[in-house]
Amino acid sequence: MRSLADKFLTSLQVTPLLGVLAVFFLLPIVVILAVSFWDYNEFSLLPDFVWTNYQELFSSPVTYKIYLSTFMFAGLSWLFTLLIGFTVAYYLAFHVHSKLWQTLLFLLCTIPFLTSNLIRMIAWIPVLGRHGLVNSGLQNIGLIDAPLEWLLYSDFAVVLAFVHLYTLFMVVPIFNSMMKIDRSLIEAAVDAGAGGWQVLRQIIIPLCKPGIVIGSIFVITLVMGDFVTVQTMSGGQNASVGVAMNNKRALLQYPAAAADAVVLLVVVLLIVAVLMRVVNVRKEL
Amino acid sequence: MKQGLVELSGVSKHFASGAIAVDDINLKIDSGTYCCFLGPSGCGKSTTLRLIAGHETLSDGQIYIDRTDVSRLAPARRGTSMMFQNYALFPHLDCSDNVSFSLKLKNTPRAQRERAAAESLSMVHMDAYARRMPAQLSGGQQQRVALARALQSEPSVLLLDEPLSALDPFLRIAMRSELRRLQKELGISFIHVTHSQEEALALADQVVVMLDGHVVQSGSAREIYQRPGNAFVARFIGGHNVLSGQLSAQEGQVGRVDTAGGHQLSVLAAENGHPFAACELSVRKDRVRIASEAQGLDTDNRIPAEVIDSEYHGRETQVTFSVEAGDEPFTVVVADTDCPAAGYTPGERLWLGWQTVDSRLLDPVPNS
Repeated sequence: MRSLADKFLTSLQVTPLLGVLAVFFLLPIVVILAVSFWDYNEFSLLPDFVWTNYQELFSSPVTYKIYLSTFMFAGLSWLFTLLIGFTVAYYLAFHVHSKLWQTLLFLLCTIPFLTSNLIRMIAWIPVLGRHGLVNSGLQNIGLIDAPLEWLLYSDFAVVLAFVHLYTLFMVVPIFNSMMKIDRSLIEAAVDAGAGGWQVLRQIIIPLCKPGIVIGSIFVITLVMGDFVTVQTMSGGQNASVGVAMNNKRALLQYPAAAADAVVLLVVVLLIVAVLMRVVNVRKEL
Repeated sequence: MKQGLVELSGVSKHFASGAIAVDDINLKIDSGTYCCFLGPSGCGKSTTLRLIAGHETLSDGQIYIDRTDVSRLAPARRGTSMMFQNYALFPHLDCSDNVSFSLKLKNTPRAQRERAAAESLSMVHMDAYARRMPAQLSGGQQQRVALARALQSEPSVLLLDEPLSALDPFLRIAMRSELRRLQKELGISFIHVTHSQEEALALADQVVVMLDGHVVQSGSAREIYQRPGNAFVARFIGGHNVLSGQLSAQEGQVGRVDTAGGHQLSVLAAENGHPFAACELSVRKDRVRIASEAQGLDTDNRIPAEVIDSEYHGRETQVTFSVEAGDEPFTVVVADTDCPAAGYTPGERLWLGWQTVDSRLLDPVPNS
């Protein structure tokens, strides 16, 4: 039996963290949840308890279209960050043997993060634009006659920017998982007759699952909630849930935006829950 | 049918760093042999094992298994199978899947895999644990599963890298006899890397003592223990004291050695095998008699000594002396029945004696 004083001390120790979480995490969510039930008109918010915000959201075909395109962005970004991230992590973990080079190459991967999100996106414009590097290069070598229009301000550009922005979030946890793999397991598999692909499929991928799931959670949640990238890179030609929410906020329709946010939160939490079912991530941390 | 004839011819391994791990080893291990590679850490025994397994590439030389040159073959095509020091069980697969992993690679149907795994697991008494994950097993159980997995591919040579070092002493002895039993039952060769001379003596038909990438002596356990070739083997295998002196005469198989303290010792020596020069000799720790006066000893050799310490081990008492003829303490193992009740007090001056047959002239240690 622990004494009362002990229990008091323990709770005292967790109080600062609880306080921070309550003020900066719980409270905003509660406020958003509350506001999503408010009413509003052109000029003001009307504290109330109405379901109209949700009714409008679910009855509008636009909502479903936007969710579809958001899922598409998230899915494609996830796929490409996973493929690239896994390959980079694999190279770093299994082909770079010196610790120094591993660290240096790892730092190289973080270089994109030395500038802000926005600048990294804008940097694509001179590359992908009508008269950008890619188009003029392709035209010069005669592969195309007219500039490719789909390079910039398109879904392609959005996914490209996401992959550029978020691949590192895939590399780090997968690399971490790979470094935990005992090298003698690979030898044991080779001893049993496994070739390179079989080692990858039977040993490395299964043992990297926690890293893959953690990276996937990062990428998917980041893409699902994004609005800047989609707006900038699609040139306003496509939208995501975040963009729609931001538009409503700009029109001072806070309760509608809040309802959007609550629904998005639930959707993202569901995705995370499904991913967590695949692998017991907590065991791996 | 016995199989697992292993021959190493001029086998060398140089690492990229320039370090020479294994240097020109020539070795023959007969089929159906339990062979132990014995040596201190860093002597190249594990590297030699990994070369035979194919997990390291040869820098030079050839390896033959059952008369086939396997030097360039993939590990799985050599007829060898390796059991790793840390067991290397696949943590995401249960025991049954671990054991039948090689069959899964060949796309064997599930039912057949399960049957084969059950058979292998029962061989090591682990059939009841087929559905357990490795993390749910104790160290000893994991080891049995690793053993079953290694035997699954029906190798002609099983390679074991320090298989017992992670087990507690009690389990180690139980597992030791189990390994021995399996080897006899299967009739294949086991090559077992260890740094424990006790393990090597208990298990091996053939003991290969290694030092600095060389084989310093190879032979049966009895041969190695009774006739250590040089001072390194004599010290490492235990049971021997090493003294130094000057070889001054030789008549047939008996050599005369003058010690620094002016005593003359007679030792067994190979005929015409040694120059008259500085030499080392071994004396069996358990064949030395102790007396308070030189006259009390009717042995061929007698030297004075001073007690440093005595340790009671139950079955025997181990007494260490300082003697003039050696830089290191001279140990005598006294059986409990022969030990005086008062024991031996440090500082006491006594005489030690032994027969010529219990003492051998040693070859110089190569490259040292």
